Amino acid sequence: MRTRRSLSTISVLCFVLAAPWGARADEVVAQRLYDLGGRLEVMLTPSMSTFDKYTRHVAASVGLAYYFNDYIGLEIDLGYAFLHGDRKLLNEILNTAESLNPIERLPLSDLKYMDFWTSGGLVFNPLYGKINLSAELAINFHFYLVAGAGTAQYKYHELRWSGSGPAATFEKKEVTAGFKPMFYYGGGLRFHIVEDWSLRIEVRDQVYYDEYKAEHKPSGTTVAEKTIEDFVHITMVRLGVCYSFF
Amino acid sequence: MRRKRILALFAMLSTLAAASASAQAPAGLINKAVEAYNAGDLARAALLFYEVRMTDTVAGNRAQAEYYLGQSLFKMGMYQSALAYFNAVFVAGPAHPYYLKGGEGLINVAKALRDDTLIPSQINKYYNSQEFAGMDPMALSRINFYVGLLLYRQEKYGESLAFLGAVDPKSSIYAKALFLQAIIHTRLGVRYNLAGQEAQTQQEYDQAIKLFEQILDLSGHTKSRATRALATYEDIQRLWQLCTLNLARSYYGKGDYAKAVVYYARIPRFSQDWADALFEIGWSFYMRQEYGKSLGALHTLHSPRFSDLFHPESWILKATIYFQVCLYDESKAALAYFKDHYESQLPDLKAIATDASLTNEQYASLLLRDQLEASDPMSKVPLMIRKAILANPRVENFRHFLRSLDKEAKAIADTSEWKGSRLAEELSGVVTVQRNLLEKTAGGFVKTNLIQTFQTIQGFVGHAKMIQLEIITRERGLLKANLSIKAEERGKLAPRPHVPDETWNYWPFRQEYWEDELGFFQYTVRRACPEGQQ
Amino acid sequence: MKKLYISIASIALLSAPAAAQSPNERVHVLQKRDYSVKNKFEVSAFGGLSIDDIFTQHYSATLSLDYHLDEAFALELMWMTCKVPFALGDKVEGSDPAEYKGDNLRFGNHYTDAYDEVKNDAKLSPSNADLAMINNFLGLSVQFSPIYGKWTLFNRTLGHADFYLSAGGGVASTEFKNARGNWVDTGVYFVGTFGLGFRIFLARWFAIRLDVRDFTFAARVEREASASVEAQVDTKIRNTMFVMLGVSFLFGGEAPVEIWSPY
Repeated sequence: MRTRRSLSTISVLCFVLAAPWGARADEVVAQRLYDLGGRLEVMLTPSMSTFDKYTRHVAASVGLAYYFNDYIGLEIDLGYAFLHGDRKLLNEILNTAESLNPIERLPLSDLKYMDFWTSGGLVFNPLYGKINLSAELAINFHFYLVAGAGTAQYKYHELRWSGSGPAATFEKKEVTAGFKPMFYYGGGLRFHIVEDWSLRIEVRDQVYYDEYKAEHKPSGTTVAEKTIEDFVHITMVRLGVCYSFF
Repeated sequence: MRRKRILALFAMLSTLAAASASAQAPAGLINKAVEAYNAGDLARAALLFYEVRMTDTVAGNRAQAEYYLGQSLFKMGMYQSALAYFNAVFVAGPAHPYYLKGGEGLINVAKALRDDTLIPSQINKYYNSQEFAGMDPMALSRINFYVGLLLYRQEKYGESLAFLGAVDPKSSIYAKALFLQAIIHTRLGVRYNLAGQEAQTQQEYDQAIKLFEQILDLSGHTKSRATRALATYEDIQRLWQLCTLNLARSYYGKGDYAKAVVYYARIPRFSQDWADALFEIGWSFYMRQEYGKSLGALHTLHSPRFSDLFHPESWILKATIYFQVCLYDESKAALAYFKDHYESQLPDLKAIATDASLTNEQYASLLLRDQLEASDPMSKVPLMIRKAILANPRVENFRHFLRSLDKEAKAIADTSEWKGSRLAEELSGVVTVQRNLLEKTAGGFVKTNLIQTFQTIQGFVGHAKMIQLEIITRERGLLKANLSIKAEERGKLAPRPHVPDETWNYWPFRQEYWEDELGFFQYTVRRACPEGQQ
Repeated sequence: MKKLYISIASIALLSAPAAAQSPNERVHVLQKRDYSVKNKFEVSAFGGLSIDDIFTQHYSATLSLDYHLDEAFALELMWMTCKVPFALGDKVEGSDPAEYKGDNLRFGNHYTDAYDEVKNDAKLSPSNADLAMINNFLGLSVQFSPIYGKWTLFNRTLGHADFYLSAGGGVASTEFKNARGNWVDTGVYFVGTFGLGFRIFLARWFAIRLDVRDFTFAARVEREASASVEAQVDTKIRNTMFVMLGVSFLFGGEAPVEIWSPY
């Protein structure tokens, strides 16, 4: 949860850094080389999750965006995580557990991972700039923020126990939690490579509110139900290749 | 014609002021007027002074009332009205007990109205060096400056220098007087240069440079002394910048292009004089055969930032540079731009500038009105040219004068104590006459500028044709020598400019204009001339 | 390395069409840096937080002193603290190895909700090495700024920035909180650091810095014996990534040419 707070803090910092220092009447850049206004864009975006507690994803998505002007656009995104599951860390702490048997649904938040999703939202490009990588190589960029909503299919693992006592072992069984509404927010940099092609490097947190009936042992060996209510965060680093029409 | 109008105005002011007393003034009226004046009740004081001036049988009282009527009106911000009475005092000559004070009053009105034409003419006409010696030295300095300015405009440089040289160094106008002297020496330098008198040319430019540097030295080149200078001399900050620009011009005139470049480069970016400095530094680089830098300066001048700038010569210079390095297609493109954007405007410009049916008042609307209606003939003046005329510093003086007159007319009508009085009637008349005169003068100014603009473009059309002819000759020469007509097949593209060290940033220009990059462009061009031809 | 050059070359080639101009001329911008750092000292103060650990959450205060050898390279001395240095708190009577109370002294060291869940609800035990936290770090690094840039917000304001990479090393004292809620010293480690960041110049003497820095060390923490498990040593390579936002004050270096009247 604190990691999520950290990410939110970073988003706020980005806003703070983007705050204007004294507005000026004249345009800073005239005859901009890369103006997104009126452009329709298709994107192919490989992505992978980072900062997630117990889950991991490697995914790809396709998207479509339209920009009303250089600052505001709408986008839709359709994705599939072709690699998804638990992180090594979760397996490690489960394997070293001393008294887990016979808990099947772990009393932990952020256990859910997703495979399919579809979403749509706003893209906001407040900042345009350029960087000089070497003597002759200047690359223009947009800094942007995204926010929107959609739906995603979530899954998680339950434990199936065999044997008893210290010799008991478990197997993981994938369970579908179904399609859930989710929302997302994030930000990134769009590097303009040539007139119509650009690269988007983005961090996007996809969030859904989960109410999950898990099990725990309040004392000794008694197993009781425990409802975990929390936001499930899946934070992806995305690298999109974009082509703009018109 | 204009001079006649000016004289007519002052004659009218004098007539008004000299209207004879037709009735006896009640005894002690002058005292009541003075009491009201001292109490700060200026409207009442003016009314009473007017009564005294018109009705009192004692000449001394009338003279006193005449001056203090002017003074009351001046303090009320009714400068044009005050001018009428100060002028009456002044033209009465030394016999008038307030003669010198009347002169000072005129100077104060000139300052308040930013009038550097009408009042200076009047002072010059009645200039009395013997009597003026008794005047406050600061006021006298201002009179000498105004007279010097007037004579400078009449191109009487010798006389002008004499008046300007008499300005007291302690006067707030001293720096301006030095500046005007330097400008006169520059003008003389140009004159001698055209006459081919090299020694005199150098002498005049050297004198100008010395004076410009003297003005810069008033700053002491330290912040503390500069701050003191700012408090002492009028418009000194503006003068410092103008001195820098004119130092560059003087060195250019002397043929010292390296020093000219140094001073042009000191003109702050985005300042009022920057466009001129860019253009002129372009010429300096051209003279030094630094064509890449010259084109770079013009690149800023031709950027969207200066899209409305009237600068036909910059395109001729661009075409000339390309011609010098044998890039004929690029040269033709620059000439084509000149033709499309400047030469094409000549017919419309000629029609407006020479339209006999247009009155001066109609011409005046170009600079006195913020918005021009479509039916206004001045709306046909191309925007670029209108902006160029409006950029003239005298335009703001005209506008200031007009605003001041409108404000004064309203104040006269709104002063309740004056309702129905002869004073109000007279003052309204003065303001109306002045407003009409101002419109005529402004109209004349516009018309003259339109004609000058027409002539300027026409002059450059001649230059453009010469370059075009030279290009045809050079291209024929290439064909005869069996050389490719395509520049890219001749010569080498120069390498990119050397980056002095890592404290410099380099960016390739890719058609977008970043504000902070303006003024820092440099071209590398192909030197496409065949061997032996430059 | 070869691949990197090929990638850069490819981008350069791809970029070329956008820059297409007359074949007979090219236009360049050559300007004196508005914000030169050469030979300048830079004193920075940061507030930071760790972003990637599941069970631990650091909040840090950092002071750094940079000397810019030129526009591209700088040496940086950094002190980062999550705990009041040298103070240990109240020693727990009879503890061996020594255990201490005193959460207030460890103002920046916290365990996350995820740790509480794992420990209390699921009765799971993460490796102690995963629980070790950095108390104080003192290190030296080299900073390399190969990239400079500028940006405009809504096309109305102009900003300049330097982007940099940094790499270095130092020493860090570490602790962890055991099952009894007491702090136990887990030793001083050599820590490798790697990071990147940028500074946005607001004046020649003042900048805002955003720095992302990874602190890597090999944590080696003893696990106490329990009813079912014998005492053992947990060893793990720990990467703790900090995001730090700070302000910088720059001194010395080339005196700027003050353009004031009369020019």
